[in-house]
Amino acid sequence: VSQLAHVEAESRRGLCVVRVRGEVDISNAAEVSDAIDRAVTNDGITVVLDLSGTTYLDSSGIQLLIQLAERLADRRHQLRLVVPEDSAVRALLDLTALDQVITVVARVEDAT
Amino acid sequence: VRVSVARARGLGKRELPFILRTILIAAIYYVAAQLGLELALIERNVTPLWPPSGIAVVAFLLLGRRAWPGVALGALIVNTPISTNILWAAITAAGNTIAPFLAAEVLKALGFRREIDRLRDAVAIVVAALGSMLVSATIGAVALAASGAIRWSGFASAWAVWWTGDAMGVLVVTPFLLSLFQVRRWARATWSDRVEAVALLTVLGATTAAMASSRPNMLFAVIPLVGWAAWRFQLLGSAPAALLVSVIATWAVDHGWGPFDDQRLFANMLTLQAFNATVALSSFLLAALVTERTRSRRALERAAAELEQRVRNRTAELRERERQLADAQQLAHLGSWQWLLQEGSITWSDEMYRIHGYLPQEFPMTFERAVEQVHEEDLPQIQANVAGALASDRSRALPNTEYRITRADGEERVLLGRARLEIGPDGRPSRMVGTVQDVTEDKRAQREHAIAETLQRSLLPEQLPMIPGVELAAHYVPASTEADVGGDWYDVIPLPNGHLGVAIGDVAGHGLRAAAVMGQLRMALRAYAVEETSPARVVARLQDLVRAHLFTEMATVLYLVFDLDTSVATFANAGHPPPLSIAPDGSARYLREVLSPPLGAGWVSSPVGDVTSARPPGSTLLLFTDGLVERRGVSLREGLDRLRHEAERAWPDLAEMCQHLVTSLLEPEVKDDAAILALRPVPLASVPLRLRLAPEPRSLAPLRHTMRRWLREAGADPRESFEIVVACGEACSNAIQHAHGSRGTPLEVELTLAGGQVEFKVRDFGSWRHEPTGGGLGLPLMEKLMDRVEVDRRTDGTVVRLRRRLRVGRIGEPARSR
Repeated sequence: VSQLAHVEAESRRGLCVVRVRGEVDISNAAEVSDAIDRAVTNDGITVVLDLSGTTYLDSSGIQLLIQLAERLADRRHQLRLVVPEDSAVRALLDLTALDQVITVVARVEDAT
Repeated sequence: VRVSVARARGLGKRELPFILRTILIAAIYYVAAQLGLELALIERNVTPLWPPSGIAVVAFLLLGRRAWPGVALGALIVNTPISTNILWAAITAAGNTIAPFLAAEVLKALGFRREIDRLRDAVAIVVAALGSMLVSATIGAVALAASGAIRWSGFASAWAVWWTGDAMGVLVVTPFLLSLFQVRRWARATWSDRVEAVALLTVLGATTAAMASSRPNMLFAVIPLVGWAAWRFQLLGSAPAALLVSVIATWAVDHGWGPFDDQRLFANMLTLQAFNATVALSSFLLAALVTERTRSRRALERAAAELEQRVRNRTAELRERERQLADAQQLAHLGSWQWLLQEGSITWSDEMYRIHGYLPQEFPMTFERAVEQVHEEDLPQIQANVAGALASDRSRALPNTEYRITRADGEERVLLGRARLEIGPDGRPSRMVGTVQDVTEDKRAQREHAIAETLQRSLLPEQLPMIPGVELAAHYVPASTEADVGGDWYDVIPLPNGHLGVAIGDVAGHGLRAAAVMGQLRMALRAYAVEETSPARVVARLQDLVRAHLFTEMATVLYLVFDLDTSVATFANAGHPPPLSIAPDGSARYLREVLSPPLGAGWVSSPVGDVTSARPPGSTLLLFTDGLVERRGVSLREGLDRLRHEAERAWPDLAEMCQHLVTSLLEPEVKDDAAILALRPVPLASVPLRLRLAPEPRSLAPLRHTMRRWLREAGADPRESFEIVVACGEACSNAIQHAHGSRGTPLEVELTLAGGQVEFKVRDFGSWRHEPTGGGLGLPLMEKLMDRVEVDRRTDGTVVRLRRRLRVGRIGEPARSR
């Protein structure tokens, strides 16, 4: 994955936690999407996407989240987004009403 | 003055005082006269051989006119007892003085030489003797007759005897006395010569005596012996021989011996004097001839010997020059040739043969052989040059030609030929001469140097990228010596995450190899820089690469990442001189915190740490290679101090600073190359931000970084900044995605602040044929984030304008410091 964003995954108490750090724009949205797909395991039914370390997200990133949620739903998986209350990305998600489509929580601990 | 000169001359010649000299001459004269009178024929005072006249001539020859008192005194003493009275004696004496004086004067006038070694000397003495003695004979005979000593009837015979006697005295005695001055020659003579001389004179004396006493007149038989003496010993032989023969012959006449017994006095006199004269004349002539011949032979021999010596010297000289020329030709790889056009012959110097891979003078050169090794592509040029020159009617140089030859062993050499045509006196080309220089090595070195230089030039960025918010300047000074191409390099890499990577490095060594290593390092660093965020990681990977690929060269590198967003520089340093940090106020210090070993074989890997340094706007970071600070005879520390000293001031213009540092620190003749690179963050928001972006997604991240900084400085809070950046990013993403048909025409982006309102404008030159991706989220997002969105679609592209008023409190107040 290019330097612009890093994707890491870990399994924690039956949860698949995927962290996206850095910036997501049209230049790397497809790559990030692929990386998330690879990181997602079938260990649990809930996938937690941690965007705490995501410093930039534009419409292509939001599109990515919507499509990811749809793909996971097809596999009977649930997607939870972790975005801190005070982060700029949270405000963006609120603006696009994404929080009405995908569950957004403030901390990974709240995702279960 | 005359006195002192005379005295000086007298002292110089060690002459006897006047009186003593006079008495000595007179005494010798008297003794000789007594001997002569023993041979007197008439009375007791006329003698056929009068030695005193010869003595007097010698005295005048040796002493000049000063000798007259001695001669006069001697003559007076001799004549007084044999004259009737003192008056007649004085008259006779005067005649006896004047005659030899005249003889000496005549000899001098004729250029007589005392050595009697030329024919003219022999003739001169005969002329002087016969001529001058007319005076003494006339005066003497008149005195005899007048005084009554003889009768006038006997005057003629008395005069004749007197004349011949005096003449013979001069002719016989003078050469003998003069020959005595050459006795030194006997000292050099061999013993056999001396024995021969003595034996010859003895035989001559005996023969003369025998012939003079024999009845038939056989005196002429002594002539061969006299000739022998003259031939063998010249004057030394002829003078004594003549004297000896004359004395004996005269003695014989006087005593009425042999052929002279019954003849009349006059007839005897005539015979005797003729004989004496013949002996004297022939012996002296022969002696003079032999001497002359010997002298000319010696001169010839000397000339021949001299000539031979000169020829020898010249030959040696020529041989030496030839050797030097051959040495010079060999050293310079320079051969020479000559082509005689009329004769059609070609000669090559030894070195010409060597250049062509032959042994010197291995075979006679011909035109065919001379050009047989020339590369077929180069031959026409040479032939054209030769033909062109031959068509000319005046001497001129042919164009210099570089051509290739292939030697018999297959080796190809590059030669540089120079030639000249010479026109003969007949106006036709006579010969062509030329030199050939083997320039293969030079060409190879030149080519390598050119490749290395091209390589290095191509590896250095032609132009530094324009990064908004950062001022960059760089300067590279190649080594002034032609042979060396250095391994200094630098690079500026705009990273995908919007940061700026800056690298500077130095590969040890020079030339093609160093340039090649440098190129590999630079490319590797570029690759790692994109993959790694930490400069220390980039450097560590370079270490691994270098170790894995076993470069023998040592290399230093300093890699720095500048975060445009935060204005923080992070760097790692592998053996490179530390960067110099210059604060906006001009104070400077080196950033020496962490230094890792250089890249290269033999260095054990050690962890390389990142160093961070906040770079406020206006502060400068100076990266350089050691070529800038290293100087012969100056320690590195001193060099670094000098650089800091020169850089320590406020520089409004970075390019000017680099130029100043290079000029003030480098000597005119740079042995090593030097690179310098300066980086300075500059305030952004004070001016509108205008950028041209490649219509590609990768342009977006750097744009966001620049915008964030600009917005921060414009007074936007982080949330505002984020939202504006997202909105502008959407606009740009659309422009990029729909810039089809723009053929890569850059997007024009402008960010301005007016009256507390931020206005963003992006213009593309494409056609919006497709609907935006991102599910059509882009436009609504822009509208939600900004106060106002305008989309102006034109035939040649689209302009999108976004406006948003910043929150009150910081309107129009760009943040100058953080």
